[in-house]
Formats: sequence, structure tokens, C-alpha cells
Amino acid sequence: MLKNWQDRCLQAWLYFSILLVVGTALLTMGYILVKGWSAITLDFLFSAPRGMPLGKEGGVFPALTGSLALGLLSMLIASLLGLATALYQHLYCSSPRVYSLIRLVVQCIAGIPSIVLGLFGYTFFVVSLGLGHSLLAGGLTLSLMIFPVVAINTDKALTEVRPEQTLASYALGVPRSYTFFHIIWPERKNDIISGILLGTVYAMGATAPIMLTAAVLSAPSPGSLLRPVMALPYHLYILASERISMENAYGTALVLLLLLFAGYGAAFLLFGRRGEGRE
Amino acid sequence: MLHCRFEKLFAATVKGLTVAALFILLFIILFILKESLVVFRQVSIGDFIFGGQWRPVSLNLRLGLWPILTASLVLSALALALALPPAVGAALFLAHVCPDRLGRPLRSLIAIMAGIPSVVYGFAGVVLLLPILERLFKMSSGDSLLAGGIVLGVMILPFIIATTTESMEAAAQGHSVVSRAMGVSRWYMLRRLVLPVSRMGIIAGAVLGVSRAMGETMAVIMVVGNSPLLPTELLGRIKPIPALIALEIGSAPLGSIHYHALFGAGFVLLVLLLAINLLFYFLRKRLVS
Repeated sequence: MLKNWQDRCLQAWLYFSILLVVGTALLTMGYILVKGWSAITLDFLFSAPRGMPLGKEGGVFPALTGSLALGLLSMLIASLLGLATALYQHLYCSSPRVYSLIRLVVQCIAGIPSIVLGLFGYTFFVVSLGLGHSLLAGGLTLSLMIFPVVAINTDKALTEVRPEQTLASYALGVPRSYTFFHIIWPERKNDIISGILLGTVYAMGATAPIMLTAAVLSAPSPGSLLRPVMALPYHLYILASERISMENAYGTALVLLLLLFAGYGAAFLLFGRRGEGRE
Repeated sequence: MLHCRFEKLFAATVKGLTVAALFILLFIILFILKESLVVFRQVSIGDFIFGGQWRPVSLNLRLGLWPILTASLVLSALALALALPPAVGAALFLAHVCPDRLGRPLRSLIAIMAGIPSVVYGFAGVVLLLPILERLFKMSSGDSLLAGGIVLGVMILPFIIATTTESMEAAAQGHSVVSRAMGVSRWYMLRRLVLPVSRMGIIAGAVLGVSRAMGETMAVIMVVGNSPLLPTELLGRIKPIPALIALEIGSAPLGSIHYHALFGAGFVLLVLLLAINLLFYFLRKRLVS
């Protein structure tokens, strides 16, 4: 009888927990969805912010393009670095010690808080290298933030390659690069791309690294790497914290959420789907 | 022949970029340290960390990080205390109770939760949570340690759940069939087998949660009120380290003592988080092996 009572408590705790978690997630997203839906019109998406103070009226077009540009740029740089470390771990590294060391360093970079990366980007990229507040400085800073995401996800994807495939190819004296492009990549590319997408979405939502390096209150759509840009998360922060326009803030938050859903949707669709690799 | 040349180029690129990526960590740490040294030459490290007042621009200069550092620690602890019970419960549910049909959508939802930008969480805190706190406690403005703890608690839920679920699934492998065959109730098995065995996984999840909470900037800035007071009351305003840096770096002139003091604060935060992450790495490694 007593045991039964303890079981009941456990059961209640589990159901209560999952309901609380799901409820909070749905409430947060649902509230923004409902409130933001009325703010989003074609005009909101495709016009620049207007009004006094800026952002009271008008839309988010430059912020949207700015965020996309920041995401794209950081994705390019982070993919290069992240793919390289993961490929090194799986193609060239023969010592388990070095393998773990790389993992450890990547884990540590992932642990650097985004505001400290922002601080670093500000002094190094903006001031020391003289890039100024610019798309390039912001993209570089963001790429430092998401490179571990790409590296860890690619590492995971490559771990699932069956050794008999690659070992046979190495035994035949096939170069590592050829093995990668013709055996590993066709098989694992969906998982790798999905990891990169997750990193990109993460970059587009980040505020702290770009508020010191790239984002400004008002700028045209990005045209040059060396100009500052607007960005959705920073725009939302300003709209909400200065109470400029709550309606536009809901709209901006919803656009950010929709970008997130699109990125995650694509990543989920790709993840775990086998490429046209041979069995 | 062509492949041979390509292979050499490919190998050199991969190796070069890997070395570069590894040196980034060292470079960032040394760079932040170098910029903070200026402060440590003027104020001893002890005074910097334990000093009780932060007045970086007044004539009577005071650079004491104590109220700000403790705010960071207390805020993260509060977030963890709020998040851990439901996170462990939800992880146990996902790993062992959840019907198969629900598993995929629930996991996707939790993954999406982890991806919601922190500024959106902050915004949701401003429009959803602050009005509730204001009505509940009759405050003129709900910005407080408690509000920050709740918002951060929600933010770290998915990270704790993901890490813990993983270890709980591993914990019961093999045992679950046996215990069912022996007629042991599912709940008894969870209580007596899964929970104790996945203890390390829960600790790893908690450590990861604290590290996410301590480095968080945007969501925190928007709901904690940003006054550098000691975190003594749940409803009082605080200013944790990330908020301090984000709010003050814009107005600190390049090269001023204020500017370097912010790097000092960043360095303290960086060292704390690196230590926490190393702990997480080794906990997880022990789990996997």
C-alpha cells in the first residue's frame, strides 16, 4: 500500500513536469504568435522602420536582410572551421588523445559566454583590426560562437560512418579527400547540413555578440561588408526595452520565431535521412 | 596525379584550419586577460572581486565586483533550483513513460525551445511574466531577481532535459526488459533503478544548465532591473556580470579604467565558465565510458 502511494507521487511528478514544460513552451510561442500575427503585413516585412523614435511605425526589412546577411556570413566562416576540425578528427587524426583534446577545446569555446565573445570581437575585430562596427566584424564574432555547434554536429554525423567502408578505401590507397567526397559526404551530408543550419539559426537569433560589433539602431539593407547593419534581435531589444512600440516588437519577435521554425523545420527534415550513399 | 595534388592541398587546409580553430580559444583567453591586466595593476585582484562598490566613473573610483558577481551566482542558482525538478521529471517521462507516438513531437518541441533566441525569452518575460509579478506582489515594476530566475529557469529547461534524458535511456538499457518480465511495476523500476543510476547524468545536466544561465545576457538584461545591489531579496533588483558588460561597454571610453574594468569582469566570468565547462566535459566523459 505504501509502495503504491510512492508510485503515485512519482507518476504525478512526471506528468506535472512534462505538462509544465510543454505548457511553458507553447504559452511563450503561442502568445507571440497570436499577438504578432496582426502586426505582420507585407508592408511590415518589406519596409524600413519609420516614425519618431525610429521603429514606432514602419517595418523591419533592413533588420531582416541584415540578420540574413549576418547568418550567411557567419555560416560560411563557421562551416569552414567546424568542418575542418571534425574532418581532421575523423580522417587524419590517429591518436585518441588528440581527438579528445580537440573535443575539449571545442567544448570550451562553446562555453565562452556570448557577451565575452562580443567584448573580444569589439576590441579585436572592431578596434584592433580596424573593421569598425560592420557586417564583417559581426559575422566573424558570430562565427566564433557557432563554430562549436557545427564542429560538434559534424563530429556526431561522421562518427556514424561505418568503419568498414572507409577502412576498405584507405586499404586500397585511396586518398582521404577522395574517400570523404565520394563515400562519406554522399552518405552523411544531410546530417552535416542540418547541423550547419542549426548553427546558422542560432547565429541569427543572437544579440550579445553583435550589439558591440555590428548592429546599429538604423541602417539600410546590407550593401558592404564594412558597413554596420540592423539586425532583428537587436531591433527587438531596442523596441521592447525602450518601449518604442509593443506592436512592432511582437511583430519582430514573431519574424524571429518564424525564421527559427523554418531553419529547424529544414534541419529536422534533413536529419537522419540517408543520402544516396551506397549500402 | 591530379588527385594526389588535390589531396595534399585538402590535407593542408584541414590541418591548418584545425590548428587555427584550436588556437582561437587560447587567443581569446589571453586577449581578454591582457586587456584586464591594466585594472589588476591598479586594484588588487582581491579588492576587485570582493570590493563592495561599483563606481567606475565617479572621482572617488571604486571597482568592486562583489555585488555583481554574487548576483550572477545567486541568479544562476535560483534558475537551477526552479528548473531542475520539472526538468528531471520531464526527462524521466520522455525516457521511460512517454508513448511512442508522442515522443518525436515532444522532443522536437524541446529542441525548438532550446533554439528560441534569448532576446525573445526576455521579451516574453517582459510582456507575460512582469505584469503577473507586479499584480502578485503589488510592485510598481516587476523587474527583479525572481523574474530573472524564472526566465532563465525556462531557458535552461531544454538543455537539462536533453542531457538527462540521454543518460536515463542508457541507465535502463537491458534492465527494463528484465524488470518487466519479473513483474516489477514500471514506477518501482524508475524509482529504484533509473533514478539512482542516472544520478551522474542529472548532475551533468545541472552543470550545463548553470553554465548556460551564468553566461546569458539579453533575457537577463530585460527583466532584472540592472541595479548593482547585493542579491539579498527575491524581489530586489540585481545586475549580473553579462548585463554589466553589455550595458556599460558602450559608454566606457576606449582605454579608460572603466573599459578595462569591464574586461576584468569579463575575465572573471570567462574563468568561471571555463571551469564549469571542464567539469561538464569530464562528467559526461565518465558517463559515456
